[in-house]
Amino acid sequence: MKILIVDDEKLARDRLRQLVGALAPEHEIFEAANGREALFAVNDAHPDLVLMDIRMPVMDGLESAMHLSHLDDPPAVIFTTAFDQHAVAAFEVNAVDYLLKPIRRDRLATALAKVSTVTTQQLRRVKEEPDMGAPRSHVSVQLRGQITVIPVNEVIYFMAENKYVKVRTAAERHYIEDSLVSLEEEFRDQFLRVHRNATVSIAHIRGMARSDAGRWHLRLKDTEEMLEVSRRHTAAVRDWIRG
Amino acid sequence: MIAVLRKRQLLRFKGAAIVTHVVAVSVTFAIASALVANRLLDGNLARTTAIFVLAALALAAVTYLPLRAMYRLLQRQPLLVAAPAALLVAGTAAYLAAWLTIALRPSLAVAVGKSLSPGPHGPALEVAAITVLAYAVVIQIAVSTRRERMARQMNLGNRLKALQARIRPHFFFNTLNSVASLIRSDPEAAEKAVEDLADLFRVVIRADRRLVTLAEELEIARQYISIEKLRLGDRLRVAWHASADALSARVPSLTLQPLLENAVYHGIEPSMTGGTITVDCSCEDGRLQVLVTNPVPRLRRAPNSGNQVALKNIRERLIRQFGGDVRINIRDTRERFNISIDAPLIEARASK
Repeated sequence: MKILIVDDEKLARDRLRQLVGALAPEHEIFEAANGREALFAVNDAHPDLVLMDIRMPVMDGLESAMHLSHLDDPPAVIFTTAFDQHAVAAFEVNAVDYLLKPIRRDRLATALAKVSTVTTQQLRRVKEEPDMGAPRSHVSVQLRGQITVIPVNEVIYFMAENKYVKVRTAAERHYIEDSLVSLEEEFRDQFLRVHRNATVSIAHIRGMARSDAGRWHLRLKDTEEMLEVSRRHTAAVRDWIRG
Repeated sequence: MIAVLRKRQLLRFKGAAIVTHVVAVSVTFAIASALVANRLLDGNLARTTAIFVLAALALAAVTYLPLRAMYRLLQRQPLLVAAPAALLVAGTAAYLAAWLTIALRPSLAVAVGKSLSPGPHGPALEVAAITVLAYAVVIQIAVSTRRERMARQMNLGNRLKALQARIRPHFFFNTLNSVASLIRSDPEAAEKAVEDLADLFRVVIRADRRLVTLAEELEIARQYISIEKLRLGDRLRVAWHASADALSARVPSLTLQPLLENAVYHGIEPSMTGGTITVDCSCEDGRLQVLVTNPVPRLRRAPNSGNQVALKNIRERLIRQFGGDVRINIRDTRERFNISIDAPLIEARASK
């Protein structure tokens, strides 16, 4: 079995590596220092099991597990936490496995023995708990069994195209299945709706310009593209730029 | 007689109802019989006593039944409404019962005593008045005992919560995890960590009104930081500055360490690269100035609600500890988060 250990603290990773090595030396062990690195590691190594810490910088364990759950064949995830009342409550509600740090050898043995792929629905539901409903730090795309993550603060805009939403960063375009409305709601502090089919990152707005035809367009950072502002949203966008 | 009634207290009839009634009615008749001690019916003590007892039971029943019927209604009202309502009901019932009795048996009127007006009204009113008085006494006793009990429970609850907050589970369990890891790879570091942790907890567990020197506080803070460095490594850096006169100033125990803990939790942990926390202690114009700052990592979320709660607790704790003459200033810029304490300078007593 391939096991991925995810924790921002080296001592914690060392201990788990030690424990797993003592229990079952035949397992191959990989390490990652946060939720985002964990996704890259999953892409590269395809582990069967991920031992995921909750509290980590860049991307926490809950969000990482949620992204993983969108894979066709996600690894099993067991969370580890020193003490987190909210997380533990959520886990118990959703029957998701968790281990409390410092992890006991016998508890780890039991968990390893009964590793089964955790229902993807359970993992998705854990992230949607009301207490943890903060906006994601990354959006993820699944391509040929690989997860790609895009940091939300690199996104210039989300634009609806046919049944998908285009995610535009400085260098890339990706397509995700989320609806524009749900993205607008989730990222309402960072993004501004400018059109029926587009919502723009506030940090990437450089200014507004009027075309000859009298329509307003947004000038953006990191791209030459200009986004059209619909008549309905013009007043709101102008107010926002002034204020 | 009825002390200031707090707004949201409820009057409960459950269980105490019967006792209340028996006591109220007994008191009523004790008073009444004291008044009529020299007015035996037909000069016969036994007969008078018998009639009094029967009347007492009858009055108890008469006042109990309507109150019981109104129990659900009264139970939900605040005390300020329920108590007068109960007194009114009991008084009215007693009046009606007494009025009826005396109207039917006028000879009983003399047992209640002389009254200003002829007929049943006067004596009935007296009976009602005594009943209301007796009930008022009982309600007062019930309310004050209940208030005492609630205060004791709340006090216990608060103390438990305070103790739990002092243990700081996040730090505690993470440290134990680090120590468990170090036992094999670096046993000496593990041993030192356990000793530092014990020292820190010795301070945490004690009652917190003790005054210690700032130098001692800084030592505890340094031990705390060296424990946290085990798991955070180079991500955690601290710059310490303390003037010589500040070192001898006296502050309540555990002033500094919780500020550092907050700085680590919100300023260092959420960042992969970490940063530097600064601690500055100085004296100015006879006041002690303590300033703790930490970096503000680029948070992707809105202001952390957990931090607001932690800051509120820190502020309240410091105000409680310093006893009022302290100014706490929290300044949150985009680059750094600053907490400053401005407190009276209490010098250490003459050294030995």
